[in-house]
Amino acid sequence: MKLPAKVVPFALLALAACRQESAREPLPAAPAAAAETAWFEDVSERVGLRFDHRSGLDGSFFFPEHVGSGGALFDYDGDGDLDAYLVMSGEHGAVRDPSLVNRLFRQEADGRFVDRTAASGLGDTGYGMGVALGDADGDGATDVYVTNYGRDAFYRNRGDGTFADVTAAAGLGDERWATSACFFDADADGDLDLYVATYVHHDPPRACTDAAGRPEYCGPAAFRGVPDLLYRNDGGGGAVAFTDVSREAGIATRANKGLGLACTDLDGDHRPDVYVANDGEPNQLWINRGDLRFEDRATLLGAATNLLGKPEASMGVALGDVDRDGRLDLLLAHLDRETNTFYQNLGDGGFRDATAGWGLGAPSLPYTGFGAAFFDADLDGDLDLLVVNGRVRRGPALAAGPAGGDGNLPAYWRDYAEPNLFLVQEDGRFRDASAGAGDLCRRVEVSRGLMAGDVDRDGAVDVLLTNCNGPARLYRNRAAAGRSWLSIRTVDKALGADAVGAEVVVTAGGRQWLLPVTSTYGYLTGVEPRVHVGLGDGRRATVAVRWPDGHRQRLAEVPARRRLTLYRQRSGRP
Amino acid sequence: MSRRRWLPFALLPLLGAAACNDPEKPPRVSPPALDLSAMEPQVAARIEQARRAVERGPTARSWGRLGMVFHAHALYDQAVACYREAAARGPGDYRWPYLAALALVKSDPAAALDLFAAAARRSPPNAAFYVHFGDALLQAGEPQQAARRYRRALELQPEMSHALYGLARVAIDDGDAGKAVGLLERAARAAPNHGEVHALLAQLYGRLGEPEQAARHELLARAYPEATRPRDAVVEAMEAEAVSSRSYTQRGLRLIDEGRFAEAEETFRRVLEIRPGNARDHANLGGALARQGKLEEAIEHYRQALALDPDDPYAHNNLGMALAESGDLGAASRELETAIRIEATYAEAHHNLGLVRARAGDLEAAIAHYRDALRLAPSASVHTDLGTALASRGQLAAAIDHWRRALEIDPRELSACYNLSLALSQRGDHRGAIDNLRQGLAVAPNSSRLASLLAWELATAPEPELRDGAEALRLARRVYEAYGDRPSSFDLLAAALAESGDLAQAASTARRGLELARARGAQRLVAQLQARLAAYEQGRPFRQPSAAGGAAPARD
Repeated sequence: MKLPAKVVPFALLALAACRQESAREPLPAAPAAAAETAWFEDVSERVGLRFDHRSGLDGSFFFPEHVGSGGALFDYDGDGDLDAYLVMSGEHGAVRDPSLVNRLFRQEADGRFVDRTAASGLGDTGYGMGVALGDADGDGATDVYVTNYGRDAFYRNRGDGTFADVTAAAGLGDERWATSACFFDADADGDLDLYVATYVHHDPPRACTDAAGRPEYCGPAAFRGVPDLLYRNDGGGGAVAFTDVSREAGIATRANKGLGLACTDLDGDHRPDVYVANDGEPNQLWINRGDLRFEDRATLLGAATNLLGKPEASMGVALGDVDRDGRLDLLLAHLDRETNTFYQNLGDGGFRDATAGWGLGAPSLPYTGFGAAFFDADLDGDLDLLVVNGRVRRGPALAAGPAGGDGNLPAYWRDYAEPNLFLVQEDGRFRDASAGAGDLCRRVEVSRGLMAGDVDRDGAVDVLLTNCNGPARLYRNRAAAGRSWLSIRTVDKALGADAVGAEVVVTAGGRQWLLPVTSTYGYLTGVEPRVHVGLGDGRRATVAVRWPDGHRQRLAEVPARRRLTLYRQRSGRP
Repeated sequence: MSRRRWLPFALLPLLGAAACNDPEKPPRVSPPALDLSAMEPQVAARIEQARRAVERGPTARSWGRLGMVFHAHALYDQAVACYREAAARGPGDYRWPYLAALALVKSDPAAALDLFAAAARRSPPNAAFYVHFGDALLQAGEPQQAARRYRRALELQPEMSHALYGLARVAIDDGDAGKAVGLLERAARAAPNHGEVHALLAQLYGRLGEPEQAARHELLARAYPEATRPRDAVVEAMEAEAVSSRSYTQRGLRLIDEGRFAEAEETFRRVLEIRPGNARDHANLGGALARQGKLEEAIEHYRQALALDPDDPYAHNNLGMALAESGDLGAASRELETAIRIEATYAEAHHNLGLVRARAGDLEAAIAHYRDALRLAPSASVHTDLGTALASRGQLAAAIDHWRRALEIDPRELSACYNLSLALSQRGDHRGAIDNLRQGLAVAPNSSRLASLLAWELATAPEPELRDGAEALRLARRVYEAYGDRPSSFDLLAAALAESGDLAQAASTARRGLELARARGAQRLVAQLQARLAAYEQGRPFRQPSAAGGAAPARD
């Protein structure tokens, strides 16, 4: 996404056009014993976020049981802070434990999380995989799409803290194995359409072994891929209705093995594209041609395979303008014995595998990466990278995992658990900073989903991660004290919704950051469509927004350390 | 990851030499311990056997073999430990540090680079080694060092596509896209099915503003999606040590691709011995049997596969084709329709259903299924069959277009080459036919069909400048030697002899062909040969008419 050389005159926003959000109460104080200098601190227990994922481990190596699950970090009740929605796989036998459902945790004013699953109606019982977030009906409240191994589900947010399952009425509920999904305005008509990545046609009777003939989870090569899904939003007048347009759009012509997604403009034409991370096959970059027509140009643009032309086991997708050239770059999280791969966006020249030059290859080789996110952990103005890991084929034990009531768990954690990987950007390269990340990278777990967001509203980006057959963990960021930042939400009141697809450019201290407004990146996860930028020592910034309809606004002299909501102006000025 | 950890490795040959000089000396280290209990029994037995060989005689060979057995079963740490011992005892043998480098390159690339360097000092006469070394350097961000190794690979194996690809990557790193394109075009000529080459060419042509070339190579990249690697006897020897059901399955599928069906059958039978009751294994065995014409047995195994997994479209598809081969087109259609119902995007099943419908005489349905298959995936063979179906309906221009597209995807698609040449000849474009046939024979020099048609064109084309009696005669004799019992071979040879000026011999040869054709009751051929014989007896070589609708060579 190349910024224009000549800046179109923006409307100067009056301060009234944005709203500074209120500060919040601090988190409950950490116990004295936990006071150490690690970048991240696990506050899950302290804030009451207790979720233990289970997937029905029974020794049968049921393929889906180690693929999930993800979750979402978003403000479901409109009270201004982030809540957590965590996906449960559950059990895959004939008898299922009814308590193993997706769970919604509401963040209270004091920072504690309270389980509101039953009251909210969001306790989906499917064999869960991931979440997509979007205000599909334009009523100002975020709706939730749940991907499952089996029938997907769509929950309409009533705006009063409760949700209604409107899957069938909305024309949704496909049965294929869905993984990541995203809401985005594919046809530029002002409402959010839906892309659903699907994985493989799973064949339960298949038994797989590793190279030495030991029983092992199957890999994707054992199964055929299936085409992804694109739904057009045909709702209106308060109704939610989707139509499957996968075939007309060109999406259904490719059977692929999709896991991670990024839904944003990647070729600089301001139309949202879809990047699909495929497991063991070339990735896809569905370039949006307008009129709901998409063309896979990943090969032509150099974003399908790595430097040696090899497809890799792509899982999660991290998205960000890493080199601050006004174009969004991609990082793909991969299997161990493959590097994570960094596709640097060169603009018209497409992408290039710049993994080695950015120092991103070697540190990732031992690990199997899933969730991945670029965010500025220390608010110094450079994007850092967190990749959460966990094997899909057994390896040497690195440490004992958490004990659990399931007799199969200890063996699972012994064979599949890995530490996470945290890298800090310094002078145009990434440096492995895992050692300083505390429990976030010291723990050895089977991690899958990763969501970044300022949970405690202190200006630093915190992270929520999910573990397969283990606890979700909320890590508070303690690395950014004293640094400047801006946190910006973009809202189009006419549409009643967040402006997913808007592009925010922040300028401060001679530096410029491109920040896409999106609710999807990584692996199986949804996040609040809010952008967050570290300004280092900058005190003031200029904020420019290109709204999805092309309208531009500009806000100058914005003081740092603010949480802002920008509203699209419709005053008739340019 | 640390290079230092591997520095002592370079000194091991010296230490190893001492050990080798004293065969009575017990091994310095024991073979790596490993829990074999969960492994398939034949894998455990193979490891035990190799381990005992080390214990009996700790030589470079025994340690190296144990390393290869571990390596082949993805037990990399154990493999590297054994290769270290092998290198210590066989300091002149590059294989051990090379294989250790390959085992490590995806987990500890810095250590692997040290090992590649150690192996390189032993001057391996192995181009694949230098490609792997170059690739490791390229991925480590050392393109100029990588280029040195790719160039060395090309010294050992000129026009090696993987080395040219690596050099193209380096050229891109240097900002020289034009040079990269030149290298990749050479690679594509040397290895037309090297998909990675086409993918990178597509990208470069797109960047250089040549969209047609970009689209063509993108199509080819999609047609050849499998990751490739250079042939390497050292690696293949290591992989041959693998005895797990998974490795047998992979080997069997590779043998199928290589056309070695009997060996594939034997391999899949071993898999079924190891793990009976697996649907996919039965289906794989069925595939190997069907390709050998053992249709009844193949059908039985496909049915067993479907009894175990009724929703496997792969088995339905293959059963359908086996039934079609056995003549039961109705049952074949039903199986193929089931495959498509289960998996609507199964392009091969659409193609096969088109073939079955074509064989049943329903060209409309066949064409529709071929088009469905092409919507899902590019395929040279589908274009060929669609072209043939369209030609049968008289749509020759559309057919020619599809045959051309088939050859763009795969120049080895000989049916498309033959059909296209014949169609061009019949339209009076003999130059086009001859050029096309020459291209086809460049790819498949042993093709008698193409040689036969080219000989005919060179002997009978109406334009004098296109005819070449000497070459026609050479090709016709080649065909005659292979198929001397066919009247058409006599017809072809007679035409070539006539064009070469030996009309008497041409007439004599045509008479023999005529006798043979009469004996076989081939009335059309008899009429053709009579007309040509008359020409030879009148002292005239046979000529195709100059307008469209030229005379085709005789068919038996």
